[in-house]
Amino acid sequence: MRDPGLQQERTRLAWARTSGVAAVNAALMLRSGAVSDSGTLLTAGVLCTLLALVMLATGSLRARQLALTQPVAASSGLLAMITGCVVAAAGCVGLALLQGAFVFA
Amino acid sequence: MPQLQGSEPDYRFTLANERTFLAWVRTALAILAGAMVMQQLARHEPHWVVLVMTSSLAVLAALLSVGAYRQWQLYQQAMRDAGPLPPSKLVPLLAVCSTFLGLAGLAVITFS
Repeated sequence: MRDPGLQQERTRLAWARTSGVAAVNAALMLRSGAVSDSGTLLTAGVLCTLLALVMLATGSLRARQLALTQPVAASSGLLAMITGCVVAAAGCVGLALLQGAFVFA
Repeated sequence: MPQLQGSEPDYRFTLANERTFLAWVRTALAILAGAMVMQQLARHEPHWVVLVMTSSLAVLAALLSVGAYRQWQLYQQAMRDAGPLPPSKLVPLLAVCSTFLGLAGLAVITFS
């Protein structure tokens, strides 16, 4: 029942894809913040960028944990943090909605 | 943190559970991206319709990510107990919400 490391690779890729989508979202928020005069939108964009960086860092931590001879399972705290990041990102969208319309340039 | 019972499952199943969690997180993030784009591009009057649609998408994204974590915990414990995995509640939630939002969007386009 030897696994030649495919599971680790797939899990690493799953983290990379998740960080990728988070980065796209951050770019969207950052763009709308940059083109508008609103400080609120810019703050939301910066916050989303930070959240994406947190998710990226978590992904690389997981990659290192998985590369060990004895791969480590993800701790619940780590995954709870990821959930927190997504909820916070949703909160950023809510913040922007309260602020008013996004500016489309 | 509740005391973990049972035996450690095959680590491949643990990793599969983790990947499932991440897949749901990506789904939530994609829906969130849709909310952002909708807010940026929508020029629909009355504006409250756009607000309702966009905030519904954001709420759905938050619900999916919280549900994904709870499902991960549930499945991890079910694997420890060597019991059957309970059916996912996230799949019907996503199906119902996206159908509803899709029809709502269609209605907005039709009656404007």
